[in-house]
Amino acid sequence: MTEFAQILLWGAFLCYLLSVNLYLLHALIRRPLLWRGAFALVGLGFLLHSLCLGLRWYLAGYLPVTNLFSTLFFFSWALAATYLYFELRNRIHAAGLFVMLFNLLLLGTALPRDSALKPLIPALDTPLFTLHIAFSFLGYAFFAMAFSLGVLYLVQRRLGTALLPDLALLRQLNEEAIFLGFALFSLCMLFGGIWAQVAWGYYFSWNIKGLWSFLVWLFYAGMCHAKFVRRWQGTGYACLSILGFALVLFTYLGIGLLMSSNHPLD
Amino acid sequence: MSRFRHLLKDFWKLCCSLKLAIVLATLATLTAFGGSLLMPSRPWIFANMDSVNLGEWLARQGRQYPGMTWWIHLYGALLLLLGLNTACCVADWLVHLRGRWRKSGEYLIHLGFVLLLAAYLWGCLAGFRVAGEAIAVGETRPVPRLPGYYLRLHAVEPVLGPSGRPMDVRSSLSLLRGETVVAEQAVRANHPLIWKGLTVLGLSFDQRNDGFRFTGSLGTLELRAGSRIALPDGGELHILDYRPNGARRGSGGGPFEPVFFGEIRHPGQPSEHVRYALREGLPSALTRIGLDLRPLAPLQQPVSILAIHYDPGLALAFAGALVMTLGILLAIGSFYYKRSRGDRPLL
Repeated sequence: MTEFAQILLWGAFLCYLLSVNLYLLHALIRRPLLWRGAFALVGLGFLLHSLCLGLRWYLAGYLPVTNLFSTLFFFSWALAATYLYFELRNRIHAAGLFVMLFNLLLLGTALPRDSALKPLIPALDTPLFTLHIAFSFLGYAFFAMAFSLGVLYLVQRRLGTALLPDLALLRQLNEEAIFLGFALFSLCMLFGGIWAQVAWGYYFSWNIKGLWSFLVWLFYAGMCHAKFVRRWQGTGYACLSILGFALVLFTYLGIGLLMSSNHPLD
Repeated sequence: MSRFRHLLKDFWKLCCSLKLAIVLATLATLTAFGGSLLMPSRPWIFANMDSVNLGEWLARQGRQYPGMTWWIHLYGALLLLLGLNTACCVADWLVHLRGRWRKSGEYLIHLGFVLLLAAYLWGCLAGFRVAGEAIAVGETRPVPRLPGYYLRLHAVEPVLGPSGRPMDVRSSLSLLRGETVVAEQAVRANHPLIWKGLTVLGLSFDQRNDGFRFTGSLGTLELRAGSRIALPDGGELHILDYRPNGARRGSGGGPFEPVFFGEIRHPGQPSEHVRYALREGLPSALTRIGLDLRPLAPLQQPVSILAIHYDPGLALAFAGALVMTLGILLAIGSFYYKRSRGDRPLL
């Protein structure tokens, strides 16, 4: 069964890799067939990715998002889901190149790592754990999407290419990604707080991970307000999306890997 | 008068200002960002921040290391101002509810944040955290710093993993107010005993030597503090105290050894105190009355090591979390509803 999960995982990776190549080709020679093929491959990759996640969940008996491999794997799945959501709703086409490239990077970093499923320790044996991490990575995925849309906004502003959606749509999608990401990340923080109360006896931890997660929340809360300030609309908002995602990456990877925290990744 | 009203209106506008919220959130983020960089390199200051509540921690570590902890005061002050700004914003929404009810989701998120912040502040000022409280099976102990409340441990057992290693501890606990049981819980990982603001967690388990098993003229006996033995001559031996490390062998640096303190009582006679250090042999007071007590083995009592946290703002924090969750769900629902109607939902 675990071998089958590995096959599904590699299948998903291959689909994403091919889709990135097709998106790249589409950027160069602009054929609708190419982005359609790329989008179909993302869909197929996401299907294999979901099957792999479901199988691993079934085999482990819990949502397996406990170490660096599994968090990268789940982050990549959430990002693919987020991209599909935006593509299906808004037809952003070539904008998918940047997102899927980032997604490929996430899954590619996960692949060489230990994918073994380990027994769940009692501290993680609670539905609050599942809710906390699911909302956390879904929130991260929307922030990653906002980051990609922010970069694309700046590119479009400079190049004005027909390949990318217009600035108004990119700005609207960026704001939508920030709002949805903030809503999901807030749920992550709330479930995390309840879990911390039952596991540690307090709902806010001054551990560096807890502090930085709150900073990420505060930053994006500020962003949800900043879009009403004319000066911050458009370019400023795109820059904030990029800066915000740097905070997210540091909170997730920087603290998890480089510092001693109560959310270790390995 | 109208000038004063105008000034008051301007002040209220400032209190509810969105730009002020952004400035305060930015300053708080930057303060905590800079301050948190000090944390990993100075574990002797910051590593135990969660072991006591913030108020106590600041009173102790904040005074000892003011140069390293000043940013926490500033961060707290900025968050407090942000909380006040948000509270004003919520109050303004309530005043204009008829025109702004479509934004209820967003304002409920604001209200949830204010409640959470108030609850945290309350917990910091009036709560406490105690760790490492040892309680033996059958023992009833007062809850530290909460007069009138007691904890009673009924049983403690390790939960073993597949490899036979202890993975968790299950402690059956009762919380009593005076003589009345107010809460009961088999405490283990993610299953604390929570009653009002009190949270009791199991940290680990241990054993405590609280007596000794003896053999002798009266058969096999288990003696602990409080045990009573009826003597053949009609008297009684009452064990007053047992100290597993109460006596020191030799004159100087020998190891500590167990010792019993007791009292021999005979009707109509003054009681006689007796000290029995087990390594030193039976004291003359006991041999004189013909009592033979030869030590066999120490008696071990399972002990649960607990953490006891009290946060009077816990219910308020839970209410804040509930309001915020409701606000998030409403805001998402409203977002999709507006989109389905073709509006551009500015959130």
